Amino acid sequence: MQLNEEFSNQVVLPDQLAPIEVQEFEALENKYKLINQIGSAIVLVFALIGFFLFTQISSGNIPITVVIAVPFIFAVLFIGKLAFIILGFPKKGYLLREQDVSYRSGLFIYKLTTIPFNRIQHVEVSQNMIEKSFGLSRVKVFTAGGSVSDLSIPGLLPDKAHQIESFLLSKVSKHE
Amino acid sequence: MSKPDLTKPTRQALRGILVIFVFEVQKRLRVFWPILLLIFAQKKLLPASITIPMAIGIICLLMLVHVILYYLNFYFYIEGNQFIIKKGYLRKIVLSIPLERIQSVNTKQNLLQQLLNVYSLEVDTAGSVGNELKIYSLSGSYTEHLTQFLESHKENTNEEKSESISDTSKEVEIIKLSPADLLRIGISQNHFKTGLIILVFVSQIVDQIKDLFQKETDAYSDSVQNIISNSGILIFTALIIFALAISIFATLLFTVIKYYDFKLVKYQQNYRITAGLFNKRKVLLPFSKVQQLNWETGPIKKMFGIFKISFKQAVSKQVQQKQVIDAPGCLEKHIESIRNEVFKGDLPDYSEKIYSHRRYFNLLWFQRGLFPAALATPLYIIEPLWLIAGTFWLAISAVYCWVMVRKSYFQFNKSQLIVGKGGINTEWQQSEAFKTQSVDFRQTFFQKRRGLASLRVNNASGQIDIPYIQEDIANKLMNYILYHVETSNKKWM
Repeated sequence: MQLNEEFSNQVVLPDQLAPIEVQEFEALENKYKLINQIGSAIVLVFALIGFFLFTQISSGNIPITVVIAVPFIFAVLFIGKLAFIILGFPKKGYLLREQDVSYRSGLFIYKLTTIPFNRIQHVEVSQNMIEKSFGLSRVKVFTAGGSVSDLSIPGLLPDKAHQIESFLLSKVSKHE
Repeated sequence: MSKPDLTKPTRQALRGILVIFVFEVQKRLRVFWPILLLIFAQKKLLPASITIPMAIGIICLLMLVHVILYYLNFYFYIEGNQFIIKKGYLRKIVLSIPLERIQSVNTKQNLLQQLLNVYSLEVDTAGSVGNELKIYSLSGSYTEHLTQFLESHKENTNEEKSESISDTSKEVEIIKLSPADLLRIGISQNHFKTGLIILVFVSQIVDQIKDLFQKETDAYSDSVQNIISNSGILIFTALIIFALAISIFATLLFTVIKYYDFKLVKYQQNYRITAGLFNKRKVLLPFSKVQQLNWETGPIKKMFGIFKISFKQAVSKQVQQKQVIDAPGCLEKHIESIRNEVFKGDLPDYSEKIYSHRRYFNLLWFQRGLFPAALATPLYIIEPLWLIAGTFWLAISAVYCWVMVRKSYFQFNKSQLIVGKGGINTEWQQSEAFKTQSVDFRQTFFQKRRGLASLRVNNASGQIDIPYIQEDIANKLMNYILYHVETSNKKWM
């Protein structure tokens, strides 16, 4: 299949057109994988506590098969989630080029988002509670027009995050 | 008519004080209604000597005093290149807006304002202040001068030197809807939607009435049941026709109220839209602010040869709701001329149409056919007859999804992107490549095996989806759009 003539001319265009899909993406810190695992472990614990309370309230009206089956299903889901996190982790990564910033992720649904520097509205470095206790930060890049088009790079060491932030800010101010 | 002096601090029109009163009461009610409800429901909460009418009277009196003080302390004027609003009696507020930051000036007129012949004026900036910049009661002549001044000033500061402004100072009327047009538009609307809204509404009311007149309705419903069981199909079809007639009438009514006296006027590098029966809206829309243009037609619309076109503007983070301005009842030539103006004649209509891959059907059918049908599984177990309905649903949705796949395509020339889509209706979206904010490349596990991918092109007003195209085309298109954005120096808003 062929696009129109201007389109196929792209071979002679300058190196800005370096195809994004063959580039080496920068991987996230390994600790970030651990954070995600702990996060889903916390969800599992809460779900189990919730179910336990539920069985206590409805005092003995629940068949024994359900009492055994539900925690078992929770456990299977948890293991599945762990596998998902471990296998999906190498797919996550970011890429800074001369003109744009990209983030990719996804084991089953691969997603690659790219924001050109001259469309960045502002940049933010943030940490949630778990991230803070593990000493990790994330860089959030905002564009105009709602949250759909925004990008967030998690799992960065704070120094690195601030480096990226100031690099992006310098690029943004250059374009103003 | 003397020209009002814009630089002199001015109060709002005195005869509009009632309008201010109503708006202020509305504002307070919106905040305090739970408390008021509580007080009036639990009369014990009121001091013994005060009755409810007295309480309402006191509240009204306090509001009146507030409104008068508010009115006396509200000034606006232009100083240098700032538009200044001073307000507040307890807490003084001075708002000053640099004229070049003003994005648009909109005026509105509700029924009360029409009676008093005053206008609301809303100044829209790219920043956050938003609601603060509203003036509720302005006299007609003042409104006209102020809008004209603010708009003309905006034009001067927005340096568009390449465009010659010499011959464009006049207004050109592009679309004007006559009552006959409104009739056509009303008929071609989606009646199912209105029908559903009415159905929900009516069933709510019926429920309420039932509770009130339990006995009477019981007697009635007995007789109604008798009639229905005796006349069967006849009454059923009559009911359907009746419901259809009502929803057609209601859509007609809504259309007339919303689009009465609709006018789309071209004015230098702007469009101006005025419309409305009870609430008169007047919206100014600079070409450069349009992020995306959508236009659509449906089976009935096609018969009349009309389209609906929507101008999508940037969404600011604070507002969050999408700013869409639409013009119904456009003819093909209107669509052509609007597109030519907004996109400077650079239309990709003659480039090759690249259709979504047939596999797109699997995703659509799963979402719309298989998944809902599977959700109804308990029904099949309870009553096997439902299986027929389920099968019917699968077949119908398959046809619908197939039509959707056939209509899904994109066209791209060096600077513009058009996406076509739709099921019963047909819809087109067009945007300029350099107005793109970011690009998403998506590929599911299933797509990867077939070498397919989907692309989402985000702009400041929303996104354009290009589903299920060849992976290499998706990659090329993504890189090309990025290249375009990165090399462009044009202002995207």
